[in-house]
Amino acid sequence: MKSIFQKIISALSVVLLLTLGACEIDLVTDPNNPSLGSALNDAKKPELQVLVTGLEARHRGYVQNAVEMFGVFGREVWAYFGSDPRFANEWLGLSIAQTYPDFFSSGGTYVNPYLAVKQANVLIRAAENSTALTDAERKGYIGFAKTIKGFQLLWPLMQQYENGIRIDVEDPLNPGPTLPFDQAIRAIGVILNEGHTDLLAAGSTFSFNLTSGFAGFNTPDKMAQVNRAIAARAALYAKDYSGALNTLNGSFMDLNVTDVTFEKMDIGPAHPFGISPDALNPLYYPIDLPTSTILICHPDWVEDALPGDRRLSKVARRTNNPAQNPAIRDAGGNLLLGEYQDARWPSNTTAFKFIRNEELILIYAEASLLTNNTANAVSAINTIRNTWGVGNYTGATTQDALLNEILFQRRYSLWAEGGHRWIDLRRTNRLNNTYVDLRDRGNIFTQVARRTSEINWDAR
Amino acid sequence: MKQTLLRVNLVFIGLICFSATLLAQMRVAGTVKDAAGEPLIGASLIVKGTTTGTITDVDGSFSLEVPGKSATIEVTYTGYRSKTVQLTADNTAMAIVLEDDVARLDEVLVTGLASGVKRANSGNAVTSITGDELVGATNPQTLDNALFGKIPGVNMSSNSGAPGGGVNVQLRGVSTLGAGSSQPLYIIDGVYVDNSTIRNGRTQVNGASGGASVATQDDAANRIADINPDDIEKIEVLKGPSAAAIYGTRANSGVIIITTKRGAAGKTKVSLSQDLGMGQGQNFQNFDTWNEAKITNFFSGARQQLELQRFQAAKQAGRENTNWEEFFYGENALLSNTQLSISGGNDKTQFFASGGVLSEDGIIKNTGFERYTMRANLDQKLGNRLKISVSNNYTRSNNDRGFTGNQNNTGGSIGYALAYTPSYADLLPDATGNYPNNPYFNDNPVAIRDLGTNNQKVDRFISAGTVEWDILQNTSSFLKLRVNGGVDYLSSNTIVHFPEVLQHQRAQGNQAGDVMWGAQDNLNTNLQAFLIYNADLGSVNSNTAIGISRLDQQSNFLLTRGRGLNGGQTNLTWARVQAIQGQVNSTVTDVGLVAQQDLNWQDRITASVGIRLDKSTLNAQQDKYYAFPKASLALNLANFDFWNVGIVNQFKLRAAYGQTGGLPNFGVTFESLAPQIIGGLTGGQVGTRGVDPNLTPETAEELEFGLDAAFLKNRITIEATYYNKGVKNLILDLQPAESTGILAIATNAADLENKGIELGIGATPVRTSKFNWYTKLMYWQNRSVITRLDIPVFTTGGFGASLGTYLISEGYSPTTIVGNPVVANSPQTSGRTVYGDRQPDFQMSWLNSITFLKNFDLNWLFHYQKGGESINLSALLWDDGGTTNGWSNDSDGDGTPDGLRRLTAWSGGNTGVWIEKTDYIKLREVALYYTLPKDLLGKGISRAKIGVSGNNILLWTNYGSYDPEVSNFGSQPVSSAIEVTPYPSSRRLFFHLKFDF
Repeated sequence: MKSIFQKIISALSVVLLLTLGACEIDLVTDPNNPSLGSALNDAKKPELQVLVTGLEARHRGYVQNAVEMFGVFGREVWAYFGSDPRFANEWLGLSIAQTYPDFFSSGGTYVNPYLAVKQANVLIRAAENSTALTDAERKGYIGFAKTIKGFQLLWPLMQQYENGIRIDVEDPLNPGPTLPFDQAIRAIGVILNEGHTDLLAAGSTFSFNLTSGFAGFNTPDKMAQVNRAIAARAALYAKDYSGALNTLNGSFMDLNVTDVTFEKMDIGPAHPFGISPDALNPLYYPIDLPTSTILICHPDWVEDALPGDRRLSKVARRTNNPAQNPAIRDAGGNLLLGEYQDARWPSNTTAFKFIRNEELILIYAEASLLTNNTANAVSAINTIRNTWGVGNYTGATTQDALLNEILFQRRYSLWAEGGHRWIDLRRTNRLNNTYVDLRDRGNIFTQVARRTSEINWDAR
Repeated sequence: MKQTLLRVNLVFIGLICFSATLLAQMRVAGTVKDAAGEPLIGASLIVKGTTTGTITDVDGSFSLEVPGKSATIEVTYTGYRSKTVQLTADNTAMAIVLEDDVARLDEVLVTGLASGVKRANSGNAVTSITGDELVGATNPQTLDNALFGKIPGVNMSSNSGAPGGGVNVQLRGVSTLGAGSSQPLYIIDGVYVDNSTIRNGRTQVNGASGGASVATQDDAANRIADINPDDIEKIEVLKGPSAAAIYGTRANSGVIIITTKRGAAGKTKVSLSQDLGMGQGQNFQNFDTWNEAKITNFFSGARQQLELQRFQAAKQAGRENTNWEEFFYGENALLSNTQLSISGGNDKTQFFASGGVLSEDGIIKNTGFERYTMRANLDQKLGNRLKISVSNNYTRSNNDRGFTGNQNNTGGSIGYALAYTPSYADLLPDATGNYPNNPYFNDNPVAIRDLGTNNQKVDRFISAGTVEWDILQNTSSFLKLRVNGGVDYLSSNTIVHFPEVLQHQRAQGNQAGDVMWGAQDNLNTNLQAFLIYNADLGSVNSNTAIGISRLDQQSNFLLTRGRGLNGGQTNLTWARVQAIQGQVNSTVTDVGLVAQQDLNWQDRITASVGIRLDKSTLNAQQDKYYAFPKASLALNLANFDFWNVGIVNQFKLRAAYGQTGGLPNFGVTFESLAPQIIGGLTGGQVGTRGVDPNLTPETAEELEFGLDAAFLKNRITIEATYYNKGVKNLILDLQPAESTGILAIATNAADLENKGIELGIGATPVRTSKFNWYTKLMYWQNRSVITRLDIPVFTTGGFGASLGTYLISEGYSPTTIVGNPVVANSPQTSGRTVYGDRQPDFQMSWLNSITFLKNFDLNWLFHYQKGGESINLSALLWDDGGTTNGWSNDSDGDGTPDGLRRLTAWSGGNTGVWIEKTDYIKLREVALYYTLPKDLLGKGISRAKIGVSGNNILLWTNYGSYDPEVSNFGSQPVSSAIEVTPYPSSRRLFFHLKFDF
């Protein structure tokens, strides 16, 4: 019989061996994704490329909500989305007269654009921290990032309007103040101008790839034109009309369009869509198939159209399957049938232009008018009208009449491209039932209530 | 204390020591029987202070050589009070009778990873449930379903009535707000088992939630469903940190320790049982039948005319009053459970082997659950000092759960579609099998039921091995090494499929036909090694255990989707659009160091202290150890000499304190880029989650006091417990301003407190040989409140405030339900109206067991829940579709139909319309068995039993849907109790046959 001591020693050595082996652990890093830290710490070009493409992906996040919700607010469209009654009750203001914090399905024009802003800020920092770039290359990344950032900041500002928005959002635990509309729109102009300056110093080519959405705009000088186009939109919203005319000069605006060359109206950069794992165009619906979920063109848009307006081809009639939504009814309680749907998309992978020559011409018209250059305004209006086959403008040429005409043309030219109608009527003090058809008995919202997270952060 | 270590002592059974050197010997023989005279097979007899002993054979007989001139023999048998017998001379005709241990005072409870304590000495209230109590009466759906009403201190709720289970089990209130597991840790034969709920993508296919990230509306079962309840010997429930501290960093939600059946030396025993049953939907809502008046009332304009025409057409076909609820939920589900087990062995080797086939149909056609299980448990002694035990279990589960619950724009939910389907709808397929389009919804629910697939198959191995080495032993001490390892491997394959012929799929154009394939492999391996030293130090017995524990988890998950399928193909290679919906791999390692010291002074005072040091790669600081201490004290006043209250045979005061941990979810400590393809390029999107480098695990600490008393030789027992369980440093997502693009940072931001009472009174009012009645009444309540919240008040869960959500706010219960209307100047309620609390005020259960006419056993178990609220969105949908029973009534005479009035009230800003009380009384179990008299049995049959039983057969509730137990989002820490047209629950009736050979 072995001694007890021996036994204890042998048992303890077994335990000791097990313990030593068992206590060692391998530290775990994310097995599924690259880390943000490596992108920010002296990134190489392939890592920056991933951030650039990521920015393009974040860049399109607003589209669906802007077209749908802003479109419903301005009664460009009705959302016949049968699965949730709030698309009707709340977006149309049937049951409420005011929005509320974290308003139903409104994050797409608030959270999503800010995700793009975050991505742009990370790209800017990554480019600044990279030692793998020449100065010109670095300016290419930063100029592109600031251009997209400026564009994206317009969306939450359009949603929040008089509530204002934060512009300085780099430090998640220490964000800057919420700036009122006037300051915020000016700050966006400054960001765009900085981006423009960077792009002009970025050499002749980018050292990164862009998707086909930027075909024709994928060099620093062309991107600078996109930057100026966005700046023109921002200047218009800032009521800085001479600024708008100035920036249009540097943009890709082409006033020389006729009914033959109507396709030039469409010149502009786009958000590409594709089949999975890319994302589908969220606005595409097959024509006239039975469904209870479809975005419907407001009948007022069809009814008010001038005879022969070729822009009416943007919609198609739901001949066999008019859409129904139990909440969308007229004053008599009768269902308002959804008879027209969006027909702009040949397929569910068609790209969505995020700023187009047609809008630039209309900005030119409006800015000219409001800087007292009526002739240029009328000329631009007629360019639009003749392109779409409704002949020269023959009405009064007072500033008010011409502004109404420009807004009317914007209503048809920019239909369902991100809520232009709602934004236009609001900035021209026309957001009322003279201009907005309320046959659905709903309410008109001026803006969406501040988000809960923003209120809470300020209340800390 | 020797006799308290039953598990330890069993190791020594049969060992014969030094027999050659003995000078004097006595011979003792006889029988061990119960009070009714039935022999007890496998009862153990041990000579006190030695390792000499034996066990009784199949007739209850034993024979033993005892050294010396006098001895004390301890006789023990699980479920009976142990007895000591003094011996001074040979006695070969001993008749030892053991009393039923109704209060289970002699039962050994697991208090440490390597030590146990007799219930009579335990400082904690530990609930234990024998296999017979679990499924001896009737056949609940799954193991967790079988626990309903049997554990004081648990709040359980079925998520839906779908076959295959899905149960939310919360021990002693809320243990996490979502960062960690809200479900208890399950340990089977020492193996950490996986109880995850595996994503199948149904939520994406039927549109319940968009995108790839949200997983919670799948209505999938939790994987404890793979365990065969008939294999279980005993379940012990460590409800709070004071009992579970030794399990450390994963034990915040409690620990459920399951021991499977093992063989006993003696005659080989074969058991065969067959249960045949039927499930029926219950509590139907009796939807309105439609007529012209109702159509006119509900529809208007051209639609009204169209509907009137449709009604006329239906009337001519004689189908205008179709009861769709009966049509869909009215199947008589066939339930069958076959179990065969063989056990036996000798003093060196014991075995238990079993096979089981469970087959259950659902009350909806094409749904069901099948489980095939095999088990082989083996215990082998090698020489005198080494014992090896292995447990092996293979399970295959096959589950069809159908399409119920939430959906969006697809019609991919029978219940949801039914809400909009009038009684005259034309939905049945024609002679050629074509399903008509459903003009009332996105799809025809008959086609969804008949053509859709939602299946999960799981293959699973759970294996455990234990080696015990008696390093040294003498009359006053022993030292042993125990090494235990285990593996749980689970492979799950799911498919969710909508063929292209479905109405809503046809609307997808060239992407019609949608399939989602999911594959998950989970591998858990764990290893424990312990040194246990036990010594008698004068009148005090000391037990010391030190050891280590390691757990490794690997999980690989892949969810793929194909759209645009032709000819009913489901293979992804046939899809026009093929997508990876998600691939998630995870690796986790935990390491723990454990030490525990128990002291027992003559069963009068029992004290225990212990500590566990844990580290885990789930923590932000992966290599840092966190300490979880515990201490307990039990005072058995009735065992002191001064105690002279004769009728009180046990009076124990106990107190226990302990800490446990809760780990962050995998992934929250990483700041990563997420991939997105756009225009042929791969982008990395900055994640929306920030990281707090100082994140620590959640820590629960609990102080528990109790009193256990037994009167009149255990005829009456009382168990009373009060606990205060605080959870500190709850991990919550700090939500920065959304404008920063960071939507969440996991931080230690809150504390909460659960205080509760658990009471149990057991009694045997009648105890005669012809009639024996045991009854037990249990009561438990829990109150949760958030005591610290460092982040802004927020709401969580559900579908937003207007449809009811949960409030997280200091001073409020974390399960507080709030909604509209908005309340001005009420930041503490997030500006919302408070409507109630998901947790009940209290629960009670009443268990009865009656044996009469010697051979009849009658059992029943009532379960009562008082209070609690749920968000009933089924009612919203039924009102919206006009199907609610009495929709057209005008009970307040204002000219508006009741259904419309409720809808209007809600859309005008009153969420309270849909928030309902969930009080219920359920007859959980009732069973009547008849044991055939022995003289009727054929040769070879030792016992035959027949019986009938019911499970959940009666339900009383005012709740306005099928069952107040429901959760559209599965097992949520906080935000369960939200319903959207779930799979209705069923009552289950069985006929049983059981034979022992």
